[in-house]
Order: sequence, then C-alpha cells, then structure tokens
Amino acid sequence: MKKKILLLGFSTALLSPLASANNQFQIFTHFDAEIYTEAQPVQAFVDDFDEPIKSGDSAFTYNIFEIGVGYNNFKVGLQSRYDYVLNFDPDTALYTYLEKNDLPFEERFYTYQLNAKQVTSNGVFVSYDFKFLDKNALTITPKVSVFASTHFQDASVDGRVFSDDVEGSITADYNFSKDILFKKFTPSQNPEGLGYSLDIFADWQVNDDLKVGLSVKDLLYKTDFDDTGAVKGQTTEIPFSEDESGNVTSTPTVSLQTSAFGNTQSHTLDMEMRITAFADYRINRRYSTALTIKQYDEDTFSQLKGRIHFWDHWKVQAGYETKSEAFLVGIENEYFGLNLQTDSLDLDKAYYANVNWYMNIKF
Amino acid sequence: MLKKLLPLSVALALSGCGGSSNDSSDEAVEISVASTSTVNFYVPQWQSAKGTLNQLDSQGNVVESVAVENINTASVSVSPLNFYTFEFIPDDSALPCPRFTGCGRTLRGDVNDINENRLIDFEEITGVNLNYAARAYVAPGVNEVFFSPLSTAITNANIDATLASLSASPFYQLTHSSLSNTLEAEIVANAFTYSAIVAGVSVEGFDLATAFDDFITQQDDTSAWQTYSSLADQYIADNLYSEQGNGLIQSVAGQVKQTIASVTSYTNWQQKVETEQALESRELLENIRDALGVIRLQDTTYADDLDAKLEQLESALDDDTQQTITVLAEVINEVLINYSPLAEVSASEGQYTLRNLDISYSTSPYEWLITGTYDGLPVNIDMSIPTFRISGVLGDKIEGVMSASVINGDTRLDVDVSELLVEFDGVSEQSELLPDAQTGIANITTDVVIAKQSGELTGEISLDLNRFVTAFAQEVTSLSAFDFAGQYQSDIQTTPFHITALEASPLTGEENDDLMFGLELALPLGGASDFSLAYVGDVIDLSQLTSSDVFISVKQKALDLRIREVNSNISLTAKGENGRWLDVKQAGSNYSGGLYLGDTKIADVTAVRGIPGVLFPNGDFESLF
Repeated sequence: MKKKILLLGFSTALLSPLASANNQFQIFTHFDAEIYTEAQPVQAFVDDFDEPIKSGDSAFTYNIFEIGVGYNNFKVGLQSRYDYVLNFDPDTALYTYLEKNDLPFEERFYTYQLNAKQVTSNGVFVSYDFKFLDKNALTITPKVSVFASTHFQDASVDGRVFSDDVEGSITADYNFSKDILFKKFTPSQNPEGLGYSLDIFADWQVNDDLKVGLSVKDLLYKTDFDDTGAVKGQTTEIPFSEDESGNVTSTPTVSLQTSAFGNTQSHTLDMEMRITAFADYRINRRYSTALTIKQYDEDTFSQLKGRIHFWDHWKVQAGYETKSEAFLVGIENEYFGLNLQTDSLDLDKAYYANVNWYMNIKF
Repeated sequence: MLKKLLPLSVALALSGCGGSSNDSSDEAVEISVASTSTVNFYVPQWQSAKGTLNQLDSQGNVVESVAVENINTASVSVSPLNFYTFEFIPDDSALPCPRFTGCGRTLRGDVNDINENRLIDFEEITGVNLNYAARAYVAPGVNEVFFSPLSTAITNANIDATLASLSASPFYQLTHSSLSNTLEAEIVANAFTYSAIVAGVSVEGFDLATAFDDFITQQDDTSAWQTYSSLADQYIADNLYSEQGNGLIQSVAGQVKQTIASVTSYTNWQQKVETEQALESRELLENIRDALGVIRLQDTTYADDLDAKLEQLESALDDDTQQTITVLAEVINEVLINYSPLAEVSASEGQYTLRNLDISYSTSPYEWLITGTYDGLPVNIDMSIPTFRISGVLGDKIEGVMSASVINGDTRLDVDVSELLVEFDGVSEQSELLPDAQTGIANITTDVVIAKQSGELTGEISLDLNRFVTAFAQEVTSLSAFDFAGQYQSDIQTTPFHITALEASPLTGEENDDLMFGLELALPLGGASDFSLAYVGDVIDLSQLTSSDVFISVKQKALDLRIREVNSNISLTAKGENGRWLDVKQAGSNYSGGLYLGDTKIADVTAVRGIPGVLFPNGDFESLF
C-alpha cells in the first residue's frame, strides 16, 4: 500500500474524461489517486502508528488509471484500479496506537472492530452517453467495467479485547490472496477473480450558467474469487468455566477454519458505492465556482472551488474541502487537466492527498 | 508460587506473546495410518521366554496362536485403533526363586531343594506357576505389552488400571515409548511378578486373583494383598541394596516405587470402558485444555485459596518432617536389634543407655520406655510387644502397640497408641551361608500424626530400614524407603496425599543423601473435584518444577506431562490416553511439534498470531489453550 500512497493524487472525481466534445473520435487517458486516513496521518497510518492519536473511524484510498478511445457517444478503454477501504472503531485505533507504541493500557475492554477491503484489478470498460432534453442538456452515462483480479483482501473483525491480555472475544472473517497477518495461510498460487462494476454519471446543463451533476461509482460491484486464502473463526473471552456439577469445561481460546493445506475457499467481494454531486455556477466570463459533495460510505466531504477562466477554455482553480481540511489547486482545459489536493504540504503530516490528471486528444 | 509449583503453568507460558511461524503450508495433507501396527512383548526374566502367544477375542476364545522362541523378541501385527487381549503360555512353567535372600522353607525331600537345606534358595525352582495376559489398546506404530501376573488379574477382572498407574496408559502397556518408559514398565512387571512368586512360596494358599479381587472390592481382610504389595515394593530395595541387583533400576526407582505404591493402594477401581477411537479425535486437546482450565480457574477465581493450600503442603513436607520420620524409624530399629530377643547378644531386662537415649527394657511382657534425644531431637517412645516371632527363615516379625513422640522444633511427630508391625527379612548380618545376602530389610508400619504449625499430616507410614555393608566393610542401617499415605488437614484444607520416598543409590554412601520422592496429591480444586497430581523427583525441586515429569488427572482423564525448559525454550510433551500425544517445542517466538496418535502425526503444532495451536489437515486451527 505504501507504494501506492507515494503515487498520491486526488481531486474531484467528476473531473473525468466524460466532458466530451462534439468530435466524433477521441483518445483519452485519466488518472486519479485519492487517499484519506483518520486517527493518524497517512504515513504513520501505514507505518508505525506513532503520531498522536486522533479520533477516527475510517481510511481509504481509491486509485484508477484509464486509457481509451471514444467515438460519438461510445467510449471503450482499459482500466487499472487499486482500492483500499478500512472502517474501524475509534477504540480499535486507540488499541493499535497503544500496542504499537508500547504504551500502558487501561484495565478495560477495548472494542476491536474493523472492516477492510482492498483489491487490485485490471480490465476493460465501456460507456455510452445517453443525451436528453433540448440541446442535449442532460447526459446520462452508464459505464460497465469488467476486470480480473489476483490481489485482494476482504476482512471483518469484530469483538473486544481486555487490556493487553491475550483475552477477548473476537470473530474474524477473512479472505485474501496474500496477507501479512496470516502469511502461513497464503495460497501457493494467487486466487483468480473475475468481476464487474457499474457506474452511472449524469450531467445537466440547467441553463447557460448552471450545471449540476451526479456520479454514482460502483453502484454495482462484485468479484468472484476462486481458491482464496481464508481465516474464519473466533477467540473466546473465557475459555474455561465451571459447569453445574462444578467441573471445568473448556473451549479453545482460538478456533479457526483456515485455508491451510490447500483448503482454499471461493469468495465474493463487494464494494460500497461512492456518490458525488456537484453544482457548477458560471459567475461571469472570467469566474466560476463549484460546490461538490462526496459521500464515501459514512464520510461526507464538501468542497468549494473558485475558478478563473482565461484564454480559450483554460481555467485555474483553487478550493477547500471540509472533513479532509484539504486545499486544492489545479489547471484544466478541454484537453488537459491537473489537480492537486492535500491538507499538508509536509506529506508526513498529511491526512489527505489527491492527484488527478487527464488528457483528451480529439480528432 | 502457584506458577512455580504447577508446571502446567509453564505450559501456559507457552501461550505468551510470540510471532507466528512463517512456514508455508499449502500442500494438501492426507493422514494415512499404516494398516498394521506392531506389538512387542515382555515377560520377566524368571519365566521361560519360549512358549505360545495367543490373541483372544472378547469372549476369551483364541483367535490366533503363534509359537514363539522368545516372547521378548517376538512381535505381532494387528490393525491399529483397537483393543486386543494377548496371552502368553510358557512351554516351561517352572519359576525360580527371584529373591537374593531366598524364598523360604520347603519340605524335606523337595526335588527343587537342590542343596537340601530345606530352603528355597535364590534361583532354586519354586512350585509356583503364573499366568500372563494383558488387554491392550493398539495405537499406530510400535506398541509394547508387559506381561505380569497382575496384568492377568486386571485383564480378567476387566478393570481400568490407567489412573491407578499414574500414567496415561496402564502400567503394563505403552503405545509410544521412550527407553526410560520401557525400562520403568519392565521393572514394574518384574516387581509384580517377583512378589507373586515369593508370595506364592511363602504364603500358604496364596492366589493373586483372589487377593486382587478382595482388594478392589475392599473386603475386610486384604492381608494377602498387603503381603503381595510389600513384596513388590521389596523388589526395588532388594535390587538396589544388592551388588547382584539389576543395575538399571536406580534410574527409574522413584517412578517404579510410586507406580507400585499407587497401584497397590488405589481405591477407585472402575470397569474398563473401551470406546471406539477416531483417527482425528481431538480428545487429547480437550483433556489438556481442561487441565489448563483448572489451573487458570484457580488463577482467576481461587488463586489465593490454592496458593495458601500449596504453600501449606509444601511446608508440611519439609526437612523437619522428614527428619522426625527418620529418627522414629532409626530409634525403633536400633533398640530392637540391640535390646530385644532379636539382639545378637541377648539382652536382659534393665536400664540401658544408647548414646543419648535412656532405655528401660522389660521382658514380660516385652516393653520399652525410651526417652532422650537422637540426632539432637527429643524422643519419647513407649513400646509394648506381646507377640514376637523370631524366625531365620520367615524373618522376624514383631507386632505390638506403641506410643511415641519425636519433636523437631515446630514439628511434632506423634504415635498415639497405635499398632506397630515390624518385620525383618531374616538376614541379620553377613552370613557365610548366604554370602550374597548382604542386606537385611526391616519394615516398620504404624499410624502417625505429624503436627506442623499450619496443620496436621495423619496417616499410616511404612518405613523400610536396610542394613548393609558399605564399601568400607561397615554394617550400617539406613532408612531406605518410606511410604506415607494419609491426609493433610488444616483450617483451610483436607487433602489426601501419598508420599513415597526411596534412597535410590544406597551403596554410594551412608547418608540418606539421594532420597527420590514421589508425591501424589488428591487436590480437589475449583473446577475439578477429582484433580490429582503426581510427581517424582528431588523434594527440593518441589517448588521449581520447570523441568519435570508430572502426572495429572482431571475428570478421570490421565495426562503425562513432560516439561523441559532450557534457555527459555520450552519443550512440552503431553501424553494422553489411547496413544495420543502432543509435542510442543517453543524456541523464541517459533512453535513446532505435532499432535500424534502412536507414531502417526495427525496435525501440526504452529502459532497463529503468536498463539500456539494445532493445525489440522482440513485447515482447522485450535489453540492449545
């Protein structure tokens, strides 16, 4: 994941190549990398968890690279994705922080709850712009991607742990291609997965000055894997007790079903949909502004941008986003765009970063 | 203290933090068990090894019969995971006297009395015939069956001798063994055969099956069994104290003594229940977890209670206690061999002084009043013996009544008008007639109360004193063994115990400097009302059992634990019933080993996220604790 983070990038995901021109044929490419962590800055989150702990319950990175061709309303292309989504209880982050930094634990139960999904996929996509209304003011674009994947994790851990004792009740449900926690259960050959996703984009040019849009990514998302590594089971808080007749009864502290010795499993991976809505208002010939709201699982980001337009179709923009507390700068025109967004120029301290660029060549 | 005293806690330490093992294990594993297992046999050396080996069905019918040249090198192949009854019928049923000091009187003209001294001397043929049978569970791999007349009696009575043997398997069977296990089982078989021969000669109408049945059904008169038991015990001393003795005994003497003491005094005999055995049974893991659960339950719920109990027990068995026992035994012995009809130079009534003891001796009836100090301890004994049997053949036997006290600081040993039984084996000194018989064995049995500051040990104590000639040609007497069964009572506990102690290397010195202790505690614990623990070793190691062999039973399930700790690396072998055993080795954060059934590994020991456990071929992982 660290390598992926070093690629960091961002932006409003709507700055996509969908801004098509009237040209019949085009070649386009698009890259978007976004990372966000709570509880710790990104760097510490993936390394030592050694920055002062903040409350938080999620972290994610979404990274996509596409290259394709368009003809009229059709687009087809190649796609690579790497996504990692982690939801956790703030207590779990605190527990991890105390554990990794050898700090004293309170004598209490800590909630241990996390859900993690990550997947790398490579595939193809096709989209079609359906035009509606007068002057084709409304465009609705379904996009279907089909991809293969050999690298993924889908983990769910739920329970509680008492202080730093090896004591607690936790259930784990874990499928993976390779995992650092359960190296020994990594299958000898990567599992093979085949999946699809459906995105829907809508743009509506309400009038000359106002445009609104909606993007629903991964409205449907499913990948079926064969021969995955797996660890499923639970730990028992009190593995022994007395029965009614005063005799001890015991259960294993940890009992798991694993993929060891070739006992691999089939697994279906789902991803949560991500919704973005925007309103773009042209104040005058030189200035415009845009308000964007992103809803990723339980995190909502609101972004306000201002733009200065110059030359033909060029614009520079700057903005600010709530929640991530990130500033954005960018330059765009019809054929090229680059946007950078982060909450700290010192990347060791950053909780959020996004790099986004695109290129369209139209014939 | 708890963690030190109960080595199970060492095993618990295995569950401490550690890393995971990194070995990749993605190859499908199929467990297969060889279709046949081997069973080897042992018959004590007094019996002719040539004969017929039969395999019997559950009705006692012979299903297979083979003639063997030497039963000790013979083996049979049978399918594993089943129970079998084996029987050995020697071609030559004759049995020689196994005791170095001879087996007692015989009739004039007995053809076996080759030197015509009307004694059955050592190695002269006796009129005793014995039967050999054993019912044994056969695990995959090599199994061993140790025939003795007692294995026959137990097999015929169809009872389970596992818990009585203080072992994961009955004393006459091993499913997976080390050399020392095999040696111990052989010596135990020897002892139970030796005593059957000697009892057969010296006790009129002795029948082991009857004696055993009277014992397990707790009849009023179990004197035949008591004789058989003490003769089995005597086999050890007989060998340890004789240059002719089996030199291998010493290394396992403590274990053998404890096994014999337990089998011959066990009271909870149950019918044998044979359950079908599945290859991948997790029964052993459950038993180990139950045992650890009991310990952990104490840690969490009853910690203070158990700590206090164990501390009391440990202090109750300290050096002061041992010293009072030694002094009592030695004073009785010294007085009897100097001022009694046993004395070489017959002593008349009167007042005597023996070192710091004043002895008032009268002869009608025989009475002794002994006061003074011995080895610095105040001693007060009032002994009265109406019956005196003096016999150079049967051994001198003294029955009487005694009151006594020996005081050692806060420790006070009291005998309160209790019956006293003293038996000598009839060899009072080196004899030209019996030049090999350099030993003389006296056994003193009485009820004692040993009061400590914290509580009282009450029970019957049986003390063996041996006279022998040292390398410096001195005849010395020492306490060679004792057997103390009773209960410890204090304000917080009533704990049955059985202590055995044995001087394991008597010929190397005069002092009791190599006492091998065997301790068996029936310690009802929270979570295990039937918890028992047995341990053999040096008593000073009692609180540091980090490298030891311990037997425990919980919920009537037996476990043999062998724990070794070297440089913080722990090795644990836990043997359970029916040939199952677990081997765990911890080196730093790595764990290895396996769960076995006989010689077949049925699962790997490994660690997941630092938690040691067992990984089965179907991918199931169960933590050990």
